[in-house]
Amino acid sequence: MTPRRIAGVIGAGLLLLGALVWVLRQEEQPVVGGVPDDVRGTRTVELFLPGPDGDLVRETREIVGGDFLEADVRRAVEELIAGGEAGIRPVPPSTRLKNVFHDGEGGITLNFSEHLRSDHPGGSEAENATLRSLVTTVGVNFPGVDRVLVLIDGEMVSTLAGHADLSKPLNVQDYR
Amino acid sequence: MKPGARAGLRRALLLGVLFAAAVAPSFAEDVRELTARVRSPEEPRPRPLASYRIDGVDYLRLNDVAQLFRSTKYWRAELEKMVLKAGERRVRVTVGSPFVFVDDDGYQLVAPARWLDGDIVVPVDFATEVMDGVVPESVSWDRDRRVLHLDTGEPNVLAVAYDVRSNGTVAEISLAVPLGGELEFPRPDRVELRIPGGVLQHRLIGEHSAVGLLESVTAAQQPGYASLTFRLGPAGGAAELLTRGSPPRLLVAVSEALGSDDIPLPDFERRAADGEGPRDVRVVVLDPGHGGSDPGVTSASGLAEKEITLGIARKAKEQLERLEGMEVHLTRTGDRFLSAEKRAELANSVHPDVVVSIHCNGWFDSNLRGFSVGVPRAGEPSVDPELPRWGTRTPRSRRDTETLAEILLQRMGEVLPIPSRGVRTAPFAMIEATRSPVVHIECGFLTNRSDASYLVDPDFQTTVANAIVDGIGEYRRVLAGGEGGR
Repeated sequence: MTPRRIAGVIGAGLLLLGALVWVLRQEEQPVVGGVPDDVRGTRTVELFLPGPDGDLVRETREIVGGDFLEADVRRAVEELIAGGEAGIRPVPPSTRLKNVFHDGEGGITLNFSEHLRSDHPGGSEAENATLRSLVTTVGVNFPGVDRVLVLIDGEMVSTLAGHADLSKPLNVQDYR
Repeated sequence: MKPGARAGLRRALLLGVLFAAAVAPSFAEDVRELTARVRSPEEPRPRPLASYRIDGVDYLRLNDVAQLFRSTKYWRAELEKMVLKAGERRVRVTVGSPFVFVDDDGYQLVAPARWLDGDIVVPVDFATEVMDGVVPESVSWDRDRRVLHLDTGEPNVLAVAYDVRSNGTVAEISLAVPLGGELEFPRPDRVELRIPGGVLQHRLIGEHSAVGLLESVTAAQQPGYASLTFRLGPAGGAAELLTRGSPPRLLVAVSEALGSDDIPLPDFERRAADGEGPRDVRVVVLDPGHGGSDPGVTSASGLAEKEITLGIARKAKEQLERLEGMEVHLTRTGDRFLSAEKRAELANSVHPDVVVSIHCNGWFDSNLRGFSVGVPRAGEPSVDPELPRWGTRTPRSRRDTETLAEILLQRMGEVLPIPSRGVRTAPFAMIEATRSPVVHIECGFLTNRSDASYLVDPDFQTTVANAIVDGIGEYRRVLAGGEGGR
């Protein structure tokens, strides 16, 4: 066997070995529950935003999804704050979603900055649209959630614009 | 031809044959894009859903399936593998393979997942066989109609309300969808209503006090049906089940134990619905919205909603007293703040026949305009002591509310120069805590320039007040003629 041939055989052998290692390494990936915790995927959420005639319309958004319900709810609500195609923002754009809490029993608490109330235009139609947008978006995309409590600066408030009762959690079923 | 050139030609021919063999099947495939729909109880109308029929197999886009089941998608490009995380379960789909894995369990689809126009598509059995076991919904596919059915298991038995009459008590069970029921009599003092397919609203579950001939109701969720067991008081004896549609309801009519088989249930139910003949409207509560530290919506000219509503209420009060001789109460007579609960408490304390809450509307931009009449949500869970804000409105009171709302809308439409937005559901604390027939009037949008120019005009306010007075007067005459309730 000439040295050239020997080199060729060794080269081919190395190539095969490399391919084998590559395949085995792929199989070594955790197959069950194979998504490492630090890898975040995406998910589509449906936002319920006020349309030009006042009724809610659906829009979809792709958001980063993770292992924590609170984080996913936050991303969905932040999309809602960013507004929709009709240009109507049910939550005043100055509003910041400060915290999201999940009580583990179907209750989500959304703690907003004071701007939710102070920059809201008022009126029952706008107030109802704001609450319906929030409750429906959370309720539809996160089925384990059946109640949404709205806080402002960490405090429970009696109302947003003088009509709806915010002193108790809003029932998702009531807003569908 | 040189030997080298011949070898090159052979290689080119061989590559050509291999390429043709690779692409030929895709040309031979029968790929048809078809419109499917997805139907679930929470959606009144089915939504369109992209679907494909490839060589006789129905496919859906994997992205659509992930969205339908609220899954987070993890894409591993090197393996062409999509992982869907639905709740705590992980579902792995590999392009080109018919095998999918749900955590440890493997499933074989009727055909492999594959690419189609840049999307991964999966056979429909991925939704009906694989995801069906992963998500709470029950999933099925109607191949002929191309409808993907999702049964979400959402509550469909929503609320119980009561109507106490002189000769009995009616328990009205509000449903989300039409359902049948069966009455059982497990004990002499018990009536059990079984609703096959019924899923109880969570807050109904447990024992609640009732009224009239019914001492209490115990609601329990059983596999396949919802159960409502009514405990009868000493006077309650006979019961009958009646089914009503639009909105779907079940009525359990309980009459006194007469020791007779001749129980006038149809007449009983008819009178419960019709309001037992002529009635009068003597006491009216007008609620001028907002006040004090809560100005409501403010117009561009600086006039606040609280001032407009008080002006309209005062004018209407004066005319109702003068023209109709009614006893009229205002929840506030000056510029002071009152919570919704306080307003309802004040209204309920005088046992009014009619309550009208007066408001001006607002919107995020200046486009919306028009007046509307709001009514409380249907299906008040009056049996739940933890939700006092919903009041204890009876079915008759709800029908009267609808009658009043339609009359007021018509009267306002006849005289106001702004468009009507119709009768709308108004889930607001004040009117939901009010027991009497009650409406929430929005006289126009202060955020709309045209509406606002009318609303700040005292003459327009007088016209609104006149329409309210005319409407309440007509409502009175309707009730006096025994036409209340529809």
